[in-house]
Formats: sequence, structure tokens, C-alpha cells
Amino acid sequence: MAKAEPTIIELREAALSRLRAATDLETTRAWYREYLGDHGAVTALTRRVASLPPEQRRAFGIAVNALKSELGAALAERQARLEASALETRIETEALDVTLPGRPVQRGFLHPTTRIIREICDIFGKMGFQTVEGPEVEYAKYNFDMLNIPADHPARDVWDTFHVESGEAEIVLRTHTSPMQVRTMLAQQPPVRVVVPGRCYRYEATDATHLAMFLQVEGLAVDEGITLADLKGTLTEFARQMFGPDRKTRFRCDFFPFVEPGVDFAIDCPQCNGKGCRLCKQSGWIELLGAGMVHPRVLEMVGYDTSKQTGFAFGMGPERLMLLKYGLDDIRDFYKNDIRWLRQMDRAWL
Amino acid sequence: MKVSWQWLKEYVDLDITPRELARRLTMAGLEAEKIEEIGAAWDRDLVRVARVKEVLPIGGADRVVQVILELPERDVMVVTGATNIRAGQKIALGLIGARLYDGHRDDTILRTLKPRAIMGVTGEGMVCSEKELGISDEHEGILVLPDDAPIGAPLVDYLGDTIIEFEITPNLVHDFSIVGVAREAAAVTGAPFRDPFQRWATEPLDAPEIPGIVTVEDTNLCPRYTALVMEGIRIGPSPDWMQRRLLAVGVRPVNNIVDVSNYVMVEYGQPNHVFDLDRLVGRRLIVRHARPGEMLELINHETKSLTPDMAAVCDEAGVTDLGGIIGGTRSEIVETTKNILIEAANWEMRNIRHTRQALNIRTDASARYERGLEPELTMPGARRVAELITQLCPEAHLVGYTDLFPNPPRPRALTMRFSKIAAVLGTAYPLDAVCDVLKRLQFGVEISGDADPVLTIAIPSHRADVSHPEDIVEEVARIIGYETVPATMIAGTTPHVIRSDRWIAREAARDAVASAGLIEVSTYSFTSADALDRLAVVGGPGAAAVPIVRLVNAMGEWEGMRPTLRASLLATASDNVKFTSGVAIGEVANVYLPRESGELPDERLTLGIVLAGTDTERSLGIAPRAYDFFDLKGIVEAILPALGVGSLAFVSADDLVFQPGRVARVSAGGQALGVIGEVHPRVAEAFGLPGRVMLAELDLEPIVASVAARRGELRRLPGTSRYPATENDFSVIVDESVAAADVAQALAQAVGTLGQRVQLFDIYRGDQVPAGKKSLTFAVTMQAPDRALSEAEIAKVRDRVRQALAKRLKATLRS
Repeated sequence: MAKAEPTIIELREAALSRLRAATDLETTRAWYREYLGDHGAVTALTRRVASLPPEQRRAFGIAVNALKSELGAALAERQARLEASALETRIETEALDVTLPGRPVQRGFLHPTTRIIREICDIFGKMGFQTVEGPEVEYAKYNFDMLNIPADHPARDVWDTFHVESGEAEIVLRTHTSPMQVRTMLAQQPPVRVVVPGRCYRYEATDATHLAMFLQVEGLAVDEGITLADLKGTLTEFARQMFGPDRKTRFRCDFFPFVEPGVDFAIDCPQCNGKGCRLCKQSGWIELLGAGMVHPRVLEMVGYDTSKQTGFAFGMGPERLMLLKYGLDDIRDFYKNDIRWLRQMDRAWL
Repeated sequence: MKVSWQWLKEYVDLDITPRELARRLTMAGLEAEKIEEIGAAWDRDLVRVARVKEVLPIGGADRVVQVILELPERDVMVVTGATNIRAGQKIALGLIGARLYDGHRDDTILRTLKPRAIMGVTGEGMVCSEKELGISDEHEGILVLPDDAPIGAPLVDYLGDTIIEFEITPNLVHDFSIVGVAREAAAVTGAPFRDPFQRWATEPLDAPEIPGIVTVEDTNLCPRYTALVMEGIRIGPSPDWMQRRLLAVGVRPVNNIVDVSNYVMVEYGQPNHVFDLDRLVGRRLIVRHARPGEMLELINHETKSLTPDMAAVCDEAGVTDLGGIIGGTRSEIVETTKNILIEAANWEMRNIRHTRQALNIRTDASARYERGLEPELTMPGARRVAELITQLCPEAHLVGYTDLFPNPPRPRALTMRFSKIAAVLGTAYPLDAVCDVLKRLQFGVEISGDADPVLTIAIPSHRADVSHPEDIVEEVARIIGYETVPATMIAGTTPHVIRSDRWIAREAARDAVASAGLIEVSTYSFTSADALDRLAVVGGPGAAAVPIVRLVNAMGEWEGMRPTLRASLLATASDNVKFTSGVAIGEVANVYLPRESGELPDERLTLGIVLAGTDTERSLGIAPRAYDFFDLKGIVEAILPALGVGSLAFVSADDLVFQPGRVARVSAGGQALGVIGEVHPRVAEAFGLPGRVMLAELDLEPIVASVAARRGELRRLPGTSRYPATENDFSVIVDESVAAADVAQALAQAVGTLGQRVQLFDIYRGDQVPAGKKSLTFAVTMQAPDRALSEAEIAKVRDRVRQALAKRLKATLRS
């Protein structure tokens, strides 16, 4: 037995010394195989237990097991230290110049007219207005006559109209999305609450504030008990959502053949806050849209009961809204589709 | 319409500023577009009326003189070069310190007058020209004031005025005059209105009727014709005050008679015409339909050919005047005119509009008539003309009249419940306030009943625009003020739900376009022959062959509505390639295909994509690559599934816009969607696009229809497995002629339900495969819903694939 003691001690000394000398993980793994692996020296010791006299077995077994766990712990500790130091080295060598450029992503984005139309329809959507659409090439009957704009009436001159070659039925490029008022009311009974976005056309020379093709969002609400006060509330809410809660609003009388009473809705000029500037022609006010109570003749022509039903309608130009909201100065830019300009708008949006 | 504040004050007493009146009228529906102040800069103490006492020469000077001017408190000496100055004149004197314009410069900057020696003499101020005062551009000579100008008065009191320019909307013919605006001003301010028409209603016309001097053949054309005949006219200039007023409202003075005629049109709103009676053949007038081809030389010296629907005012020799629009040269006033016939008529509004559109003439008269002028105005208008002529030509006298008014319209009235006002406005006004407003606007009001009184409202003749209770509601609200209407939200029932599938599909398509890395553009809906012909340079159908929705009134090259997005997008790409290395754009918009005559066109929602140039800018670690067919195909394969379209098929196609062999027809489940491909180099060149250009055009109508059809349908998803997926490579050797898509399809079928994804990732041709063959390597991801796949199962799949490919495509599987 006395002979066995130094063997374990020697083995321990040698093993620990070799382990201390290991400077990489591969060496520690070889060390493991040499001492603790299936064919390792310590494992060999445990196999010797069976060959010892029974009275020595217990003590020898305890000693070998102690050695085994000591070496195991030492290995784990050594490996942890080497791993930590390897990681440290890696981190030291892998430092990046974080100012190098990011890899470019080709990000697509929406056209500003798409975004403004959605914004407008969302605001009205929250007030219960549903989005509907109608044809851009339209019967004059819907674009004019049924909106109380008869032929040979000076009111028609307000809209310089593109006419389409057609047979007996007069067909035009719609000058506003208002014909959808008529189509909606012909298709269903009140209550009606819709907004109608879409492209419109006017035979008009293009300049910084006029386009031959442009967008309009028309709104219509018809029900029992709808009043001018409701129109005022709805438009005021819209203006505040669109231009901020501090915007002042102005409601004044104006004429549109399909409404009575007629309304011109303005906000105080966002550029000068109502003090008067070039944008608002010194008036302090910017006209946002035309509106009014649906004319009883329009309601009659679609077969609504004018003794019960009242309604309001409004129409606005989304491009003009953007000119005001973002301080742009040329409405033609929306349809030039210069990618550089579109990108600038995309970044300026929020 | 321009309105002079001084003129306006003849008819209404106003104690507010012109600017405040303009604001209130704007709020009430008569919009002031522009306010111009004459004399705003004239200092009351420094710019005054003075009388020229003496004009004295300056020794050694031949062009300038010394002038002694009289003010009530002292005399003032100035030096001037004006040649029109004479002793005894009243002039405008600017004293040192006055702010005036420079008569010899083109700017409009006010400069302060400083003492300056001219020929050694320093004056105390200057005599002013119209330009120096800012009244007009006239700077040749000084402004000579009328004799009645009070010496010493601030010039602003004598000559100052404010000109307000109003927009006259189609409903506002009753505001199309000084008197009309005065009536409106009185209503909005509560100030008393001096109604000039009451006098003409009560004062008898002191002249005999002249039968037969005017004949109206069709009273539908001309419901009323009033004529006054005067003798003893002497043509000359009109007085200063009248000329000044006409100039202020933008009318050029001509002579006393023409000026009176214009003055009354502006003042009363009644257009009128003065004929030289002696130049009328037969000394009488006939109002009839024009004869086909009848020619008329207008006073502006244009000659027009008339048609029978037009109203002709004729003498016995033929047409001499275009009724209600413009006069002719043959009977106009001349220097020698002695006897006149004053016409104040009423013309049918639609006919006037029709005629002036057909002849492309717009006059102040036609603008009033086409808005529906009241016939009641002709007699007061004619009598006002006669009155002013009598003032201006003391020898002139009225000798007779005629007034053809066979069917005077009955007075109109409407009845309404008082509660209607609150029902429309959402706010109630007191009954007496409502009645007060209506009376100020010259409506008659009778009230009956108590609980909810019935109002019987007599509509004055000048308010043809009022016919419905709602019109009365507007009158009340606009005068009391829209600002008194509260702001409320809609109460009441929830409206019917209307879901626009088109809107949903289109907006989803736009989102998908942006998500795929494209920049959304929005281009004009129009097309031109040129654009269509560019698409056809290789031989496809051009402008002559493609039916389009054609405009009657083309605008420049825009002849109709586009039948395709192709040209719009290629042109947009072309506009951009100069500025950027790569263009990747998409548009979701309508194209327009004609249908049968009289039917609305087929507006088809369409997706267009163009890729040109490189996929990225140069950057660290990235090599820019020219866009190719497969970039475009990948984008289409990303977008369409986002719109609910599965199982896409791409089949080689023919389309002369594209390079042959690089164009595919896209379909889904047998439904054709459109074409994608590489644009033919010659088409690209026609649009000014260098390099390779990819173009897709896809019809989204089937998607709109499927969005509609799938509404409310339950979605059954394939589900996801929680067991591991394995990825295996399958290299398939096939004949060159076999399409990759066919191999992929056969492979996917053979893999069966375990297959999650079958993706080609490598193509090899060369030593390792026999000649005439290629090796396609697919990554196949397999997964079972209920277990982890074993090696044995995967081996079985591989065997199945080997057999299936051998059988269907004579293909072998490389191990």
C-alpha cells in the first residue's frame, strides 16, 4: 500500500504541472485524453482497484476518485481561463471601424399622393366615412346635370372640361369626384357617409398652382338631422388632425351649385400664422376646400325624401393640402416623378 | 368686378373701413379678391389741393418755370417743368416731406420729397403728375383738378378712394353693380340703403310712347325691350368725376354718351346700348333671329358670321347689333351724333351664353345677362342713362319711349316653416332676427301660426337665385354670420357599410410595390400618338392601330387616355436616368380601353414596373449590377403573392415591345395577368434609355375580382410544424431543352407533401455532365408535421424523385 501512495501523488504532481503548462484548448483536450480519458493514466488507476487486496481497496478507491475529481475541476478551470483569454484576444482583434458605410438597402416607398390620400381617408374613416371610388371617365349627367349644374349655365364654366369622343351620351373626364355622390345615392338609401378619392381632370394650362390632372377627395354625409353645424364640426376635426390642434378655422359663405347653403372652409395661414404673407395674399387665411349642405335638387334627383333627409358635402385637393402642409411651391412636382424629389418628400413626410 | 368706395357711399352710409367691409362681405359670400387704396400714401398735411396764382419765368431757363400756388393760409412757390401748367388751375401740391413716386422711373417705390435747387431756385414742393401720385402711368404734364376742388383740402379727401375687387360667382348677378353691392353692404352692416329704384317706380316717365320704333319678333330671345329716344345730343368728353370713376373701376372713358352708358351698367348692373338714331336705316329696330351666314362687324372691328339661334338687333338694312353681347359699328355713336335711341333690354340667359361661347366673345354685358338678370331693371337703367345724359348735355331732351314687356313675370314667393332654419343649420336664431335680415335683403316676410310659424317670403325680382327654403336659410346664416353656427359631430345611425374592393386591392398593390424596393410613381393618365408610336418602333401596333379613349379637346400632344402604362413609365425612367445610376419604379393606376360608342370606357387597374441601370450605387463590399430579367421576375414573384395570387406561371411570349426570347407572359391559375421582359433595345432607344431596361405590365382586375370574391371566405392555412426541417440538395441532369420550371415542378410533385420549398440554386454545364445536358441543383427543404424525418425516410424520397424524374423528363439524379 505504501508503494501506491507516491504513485498517486506523483501522478497528481505531473498532471497538474502539465495542465498549468497548457496554453491552448487543444492541449487541454490532449491532456484530458492522457489522464482522464478511457485510456488515461487515472482511469488506469481505477482499473487497478480490483487487483488490490480487499482491505486496501476502499482507501485506494477514495484516493483515486479524489484525484479524478480534483483533476477534472482543474481542467474545467483551466479550460474556462483559456476560453476567456481566447475570447478576449478575438474581441481585441475584431474591432470594427464603425464609421464604415452600412451596406445599402434598396428601400422602396410610396408616392406622396398615395400617402396623403390615405391620411385624409383615415381621418374621415375614424369619423365613420367609408372610402368609395368611381369612374374617371364619366357621363356629363353625373358630373354636371344631376349635381344641379345644367347645360348652358354659367356655373359650368367654373370647370374647364375635357370632353371625350362618344356617341349620343355626353362623356367627360370627371372634373371632380362629386359624381360619385350621385352614384352612391342612386345605389343606396340613407344613411350615407362616404369619402371619394380619385383622379380628376380640368382643361387648364399647367403652372405652379394648376394641373390638368389632379386629385380630389369628396365627402358626403346624408341622414335625418344632419346640419351645417355637423359639417363645421367634421371639417374642423379634419383640419386639426391634418394641420395640428392649434389651427384656427374660418367658415364663410360661398357658392357651389350642388350645395345650399354653400361654404368656403379656410384655416389660418400655416406659413405666417394668420398675420398675412405672400402665400395667403395678405389675407391671413388659406382656403382649404369648398363645402355645403347638399342642394335639395340634388337629393330630389336621386329620389331622396327632402322633407326628411339633409346632408353635407365637401371637396378638397390633396396636392394643394400638401403644398400648404409642407410649404412646397410647385404643384407640378407631384407628377414629374423626379426620384430625387420623391425621396426628399419621403424623408420630409413625418 | 371693381367697386369704388366713394361711388358705393352714394348708396349706403358706412361707418366702417373699406377693409372691414371687404372682410364682412367676403364672409357673407361676396369675396373681395383685391383691395387697392388710391391715395393711401398721401399725407393729409403735405399733399393738398392748391390753385395756380402765377406762372413766372426763371431767368436763363426755357424749360422750367416758377409757380406761385395759393393755399388758404399762405402762398407757396415751386419750380416745375410741366408744360401744361396755367394760372387759375387747381392742382395737386406735394410739399417737402411728402411721399411720392418718381415720375421718371419705372419702379413703384415711394420716395420722400426733399428740397432741391433747379436752375438756382429751390421750391417748397412740387406740382404732381398722376404717376407721381400713383394714380396712373401718366407723367407728361401735371394733374389738373376740376374747378370745384376746394383749395387747401387734403388731396386724399378729394381724390382718394379704395377700389375693392369682388369675385362674382354665377349666383350673384344681384351683386354685379355698385347699387347691388351697396344693398349687400347695408344688409351686412345694418346701415341704411338708399334704394335708387324706388324713385323710378314712383316718378312718372314724362314722354310719349312711340309705337313701332322697336319690334321684337321672338320674346323668348328678348323678354323685355325698353328704348328711350333723345334729341339734342352734343358729343364731347364726359366730366372729370365720371371719367375718374370709370377709370377706377377699369373702364376706359370714350365720350360723354358712351361713358354714361358704361357708367349705368356699372352702377345699376343693367347693360345698355346707345344707337345713333339717324344712322339706323328706317329709324327703327327689329329684334329677330339672325339669318344663316349673316355677317356683323362688331365695335371692336372683328367680323362675325351669325347663326339663326342668335339674337340680332336689326334696322331695315339688316343686323346692326348682337343682342345683349356687343354692338356693331354701323349704328354706333360718332362725333356728329345728334339723336339717340337708348336700349336697355333683357335677353334670355342661356341663349346669351350659347352665343358668346359660339362666337368666343366675352363682354361685361354678356357676363351679366348669362347670370340671369331681372327684366325689371331695364326701365330704371334706361331712365338713369337719360338722366345722366341730360345732366351732361343740357340741350338733350327725352322725346319718347317704348317698353315691350308682354309677359312680365309674376312676383315669386315661397313658404317655409321657421324650424327649417334650425334644422339645416343646427342652431336656432330668434324669429325677429331672421325677419330683420330678410327685410334688409328686401325680402317680404309674413308670419302665420305660433308654435312653428310658417313664413311666407316674397322674393324680390333681383333674387332669381332664390327658389328653395334652403336658399333662405343661407341668406339668414350668411348675414347673421357663419361664425355663429356651432361645430358638432354627426349623431344618428351608423351608415351602411360599403367596402371598396378596388381600393383595398390597389392600396395593397401599392404597399407591395414599395415593399419590393420600388419607388412608387404617379404619372399623367393621358397619352399621345408620339408615345404610342415609340412603343411601336419595332413593328408593334402604334398610334394608328391602338384604339384609345380620345379627347374632343386635346391638350397639346395629350390626345386621349392611355391604354397602357408602358410609355408613361419608360418616359419617367428616361427622365430619371440622367440623375441616378439606377431606376426601379412602379405605378399602380388605371389604363383606359374604349368600349362601344356612348359607353364609359373600361378603366382597368394596372401595375407597371420599370427597372433600368444598376441595382445599387457603388459602395464598400457591394458591386453594382445591371438589372436583368430575373430581378424583375423576382419582384413580380414577391408582389403577386402579397395580393393573394398563388401558383404563378411564366411562359415565353411574343411582344414587339420586348427583346425576343426575353419576354414572358405571366398567369396565375390559367388567368392571364400580363407581360414581363427586357425592353427591345430599339424601343428603349426610342425613349432615350441607354442600357438594358426591364418592363412589366400586369392587369390587376383579376385581383380586384378575387379580393371581392374572397370577401368573408375562411382562410385555411397549411400550418407550421414544430419538428426540425432538413435541407437536401438534388442535382438533376436533363437535356438542355427542358425548362427549369418543368424540372422544379416534377421534383416538387415527387417530393410530395413533405416538401416545404424547392429552389433552384445552381446550373452546371461542362465536363461533369454529358454534352447537350445540364445539371440543375435544387435545395429541397423537407419537414413533416408530426415527426422528425429519419435518414431512411429521406432516402426513400430520393428514390421516389429519381424514378419520377427518369420517367417524366428522362433525367438522372447525381449522387
